Amino acid sequence: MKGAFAPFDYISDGICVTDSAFKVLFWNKALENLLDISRKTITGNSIFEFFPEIDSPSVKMRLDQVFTNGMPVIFSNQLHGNLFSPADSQNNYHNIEQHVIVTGMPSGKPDNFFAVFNIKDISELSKKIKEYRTARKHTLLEIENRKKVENILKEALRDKEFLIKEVHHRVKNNLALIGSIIELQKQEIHNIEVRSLLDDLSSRIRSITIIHEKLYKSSKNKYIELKEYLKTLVDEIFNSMVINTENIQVIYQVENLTVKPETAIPLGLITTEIVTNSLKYGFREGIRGILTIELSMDNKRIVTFRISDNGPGFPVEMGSEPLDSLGFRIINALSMQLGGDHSFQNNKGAEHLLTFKVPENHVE
Amino acid sequence: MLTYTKKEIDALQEFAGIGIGRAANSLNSMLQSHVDLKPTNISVFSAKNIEEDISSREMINYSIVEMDYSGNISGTTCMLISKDDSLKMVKLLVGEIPSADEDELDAIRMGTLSEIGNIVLNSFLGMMSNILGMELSYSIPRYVENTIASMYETILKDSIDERAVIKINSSFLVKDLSINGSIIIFLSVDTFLKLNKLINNYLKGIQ
Repeated sequence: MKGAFAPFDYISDGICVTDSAFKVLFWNKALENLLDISRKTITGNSIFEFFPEIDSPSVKMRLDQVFTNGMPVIFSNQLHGNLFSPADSQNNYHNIEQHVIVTGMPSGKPDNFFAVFNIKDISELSKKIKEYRTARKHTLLEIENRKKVENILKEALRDKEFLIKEVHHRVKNNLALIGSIIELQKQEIHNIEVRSLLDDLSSRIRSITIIHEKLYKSSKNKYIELKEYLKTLVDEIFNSMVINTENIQVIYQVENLTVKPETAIPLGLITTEIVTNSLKYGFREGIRGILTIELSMDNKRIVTFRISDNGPGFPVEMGSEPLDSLGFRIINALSMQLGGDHSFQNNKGAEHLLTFKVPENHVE
Repeated sequence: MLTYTKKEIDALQEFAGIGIGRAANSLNSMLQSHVDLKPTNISVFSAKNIEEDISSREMINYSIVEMDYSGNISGTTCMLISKDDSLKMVKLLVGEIPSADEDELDAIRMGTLSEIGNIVLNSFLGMMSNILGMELSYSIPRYVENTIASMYETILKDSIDERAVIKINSSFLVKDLSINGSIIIFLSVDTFLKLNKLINNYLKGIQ
């Protein structure tokens, strides 16, 4: 019978054969190397002398299924540890992690099988799995920590946005208060010229107030939608004027640009000056007035901003030199602030043209 | 018709109760935890009608331990537990703390599941062969992960018209964790009739 076991020497897994009395009948070469126990030492002896873990009721009960029915039985490493753990070995090298499958081999007697123990060395696999689990745990911990930091940053960002909105709200309120003070002051003044100057001042302040109002109401508290802003601004200027504006039509050809206040505020002030001037001097009673506002940006972020009316135009004696009025000085100063170029001409009415380049980080 | 009478089903239910009870005893003596294992219901149907069994849980991935048997009767028997539940069960049985950290079945955990399936299937088939006086030989259990539809397709292949299916639904109670699993026995028509005869012989013997 022993000859029947000889092919087991050609198998790379450890193979041990016992009879139903647990006497070792065969011990293959792979096991000699794996557990450092020679075939000569163990063959013919009880397997319990070498591996006491096998001599436990729960293991023996299942091995009975092998000896009587030839049923295969699995002993996993997680549930049993190492069944083939040498009893007297102090050397951990030989205490390998293992997965054991026991199959029945007919013994030649009726209802009796030999147990063929197949001992798989899973030390390397187990080590790799442990390393993987550790790496995975660290990675998950890192992800969790990053999520925590992300949440903190999101909260900080929300707080910052709330504070910025609050600042815009307060600036808007303070500017509105200044506007109201100017209005009160105006009521004390009867000189028409001075009153007109105060109106201009109010309009300029109002153009900045609208910016802050839009910034605190908007979800994007860093950007202003120019189309909406210019419409609101022009409406406010029309409402503040004492002249009849019912006969004046405003045509907007404005691209929907979203820019930072650094661009929107000077542009708003320039618009205030030009539109106020047009309303003051550009239109006459009984003639239907047309005010055209055009704004566009090319792919090099060059903005072309044009405001024109169909009024009598600039006085001929003015030529191409700007008037030394406060309005023109403001327009020129703010054009320079934008890094742009302002020009004006008569073209079936008064026409202002401003071109400037928007910095990359000022446009959304 | 691939059906069993109520008496035959009752006998199968009894075998399942004894077999699974033995598996529970085996697990209890081996593990620190108390494991309660009970068959909840049993159904027998032709493999042609597997669609009904698949439809309600086709998206679930299962941990499946399969074992072939041959001799007086031949076929395949499987133990199925949903993959999520099987991971929880392994963790509880081996004393790992169940957590979301390591929600994967690796090779070592699969080895543990193979052993649990091996215990359950051996107890059931061993008991059946003893009671019905069958001589069977068995393959080494295989562990696979699959949907129930793919499992049926793999095992039945082209022989769907010639197969019967006995399905025993079971409940595992491990500590506070309740898990539902199934044992499925695939039989050829020939085997089905032989088993039927053996069951009837057994029933006559106990009358």
